[in-house]
Amino acid sequence: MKTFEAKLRFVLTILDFGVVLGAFVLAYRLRLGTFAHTVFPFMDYLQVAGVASLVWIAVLIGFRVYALGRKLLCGFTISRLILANVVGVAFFVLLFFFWKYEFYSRWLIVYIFALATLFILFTHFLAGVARGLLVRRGIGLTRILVIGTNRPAEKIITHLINSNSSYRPVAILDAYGSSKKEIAGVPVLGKLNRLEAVVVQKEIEILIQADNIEHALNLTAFCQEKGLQYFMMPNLLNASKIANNSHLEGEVLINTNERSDFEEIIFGK
Amino acid sequence: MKCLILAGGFATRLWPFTEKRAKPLLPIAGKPLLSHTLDFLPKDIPIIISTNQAYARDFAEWASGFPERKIEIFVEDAHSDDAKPGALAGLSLAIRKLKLESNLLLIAGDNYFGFDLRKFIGVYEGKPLLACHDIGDKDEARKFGVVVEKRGKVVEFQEKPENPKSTLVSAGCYVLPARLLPSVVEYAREYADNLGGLFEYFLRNGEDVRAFSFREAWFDIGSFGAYLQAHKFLLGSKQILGQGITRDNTQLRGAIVIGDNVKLKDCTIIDSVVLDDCVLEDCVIKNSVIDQGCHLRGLDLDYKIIRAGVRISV
Repeated sequence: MKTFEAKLRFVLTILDFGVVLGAFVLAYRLRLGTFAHTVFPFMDYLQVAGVASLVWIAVLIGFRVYALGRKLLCGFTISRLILANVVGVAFFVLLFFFWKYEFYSRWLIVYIFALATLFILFTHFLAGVARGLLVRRGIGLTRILVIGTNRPAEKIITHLINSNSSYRPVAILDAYGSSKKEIAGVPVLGKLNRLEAVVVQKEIEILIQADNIEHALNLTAFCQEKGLQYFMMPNLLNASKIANNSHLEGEVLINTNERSDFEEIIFGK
Repeated sequence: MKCLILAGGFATRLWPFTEKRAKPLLPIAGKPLLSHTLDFLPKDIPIIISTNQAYARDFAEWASGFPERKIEIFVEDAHSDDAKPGALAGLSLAIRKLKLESNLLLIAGDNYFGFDLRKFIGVYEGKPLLACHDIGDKDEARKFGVVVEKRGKVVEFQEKPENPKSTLVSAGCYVLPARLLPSVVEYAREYADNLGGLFEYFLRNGEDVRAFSFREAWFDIGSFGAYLQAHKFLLGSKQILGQGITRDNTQLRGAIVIGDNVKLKDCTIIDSVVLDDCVLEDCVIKNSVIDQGCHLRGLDLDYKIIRAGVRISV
């Protein structure tokens, strides 16, 4: 799924470069009514717009608008996006001034900003729709292993299945075995002795621990070793996430300003 | 008489301690559990260890350490817990495949027996014999096969009963007469995993089943709690220290086993096992097992098993 998300973000970045450049071109046409303006030549403008678009995208990347795990469209992304667009426009004006000559139209700046913002929002919306369609076909799923077959485990599995998100529980293990064969269609594959095998076979990327607290240290260390994200259900130790760093660090989710797409699905906004 | 040791389980409940080793090969008081059993077996009795594909090589390696003993490894087909045939089915398979026709001393490989098995064999009179131990607690007795006996004769056998009639439980050690081995094979066809049920079956068929009660220690290493109990019982306040250990400002208290090449700095270790090549710094470890190659710093652990190779620094 990481590869899929990375590909999606890469395509979106390229697309955004195209729409930013497109916004420059359209703004010129709308404001000046022609591409054959003699006082403010289009080719001079396009030259600067090309360089400015590259820097614009770099600013968006720097503002982590395309970061993995970030929602494609949410209040946080939109605010970052608008700020990045202001920086992008400002850079264009400065570049034009230093490289070419005095800028011709103030309204052109407003047009560029408005169109670029609108277009980028649209591409992000489209990417979200495309991802949703692919996920429904089983492409680009983030595969989750749930530890435990207790009620919190049932709750999170049912919630994730019903949320129709790209985060999909695909296997359950329980340290002491379980009489349950499956929960909401997700198979119980045995005890923790199958951990390594299940993680490889099911291409697990996230491990949620809902039970068997006594194995928390072993499971966090295992996730660290295998590069998996580890989440612990609030019923075990408050709402906490152990970050996947070289050192284990506890991060209380309820105090963080930002939440990833997945954290919002689990814990709400 | 031959001795058949049942060691076909995958010990999934003791994860991660049994992730890469069979339960009968878990180290207790400095040596594998099975080696303790071997100490009490007659020197000349042929031993068959019935195990699965996953652990066959480990048992063969263990057996190679006793060249003076006749030890044979019998391997079931099972590669995983799901494919495990069951204890009785494993026994039946061994009887059929190895064409066993002599009296059989049957031992659960994951049990520690404090009594001399030579004495147990000595009381065998051609009738099915089972070793039993009074655990003194009816709640605990529910987890085992409960034996009701009168003057050494078993009058009733209850396999994991809701309401145990006594606190005398079957201790995973039996002698089966050669003449009854075909009945074992027949019974196993229907009840693959009910070893205790075999004795109910014998009683129903009018067999005279004998009981051998013992007072010595007995541990069924089915859980981490039982493992720790056995560890503490066998060591008391003794400490077994391996070679190449580095100790710096470290206290060792109670029953302790420290493996080879372990580095300890600013630690307190109480009633625990730290296996080979571990590096522990600023840790308080109580009632725990730290498997091989762990690097731990700044941890307080109580009643934990830490998986081999874990690196945690807090």
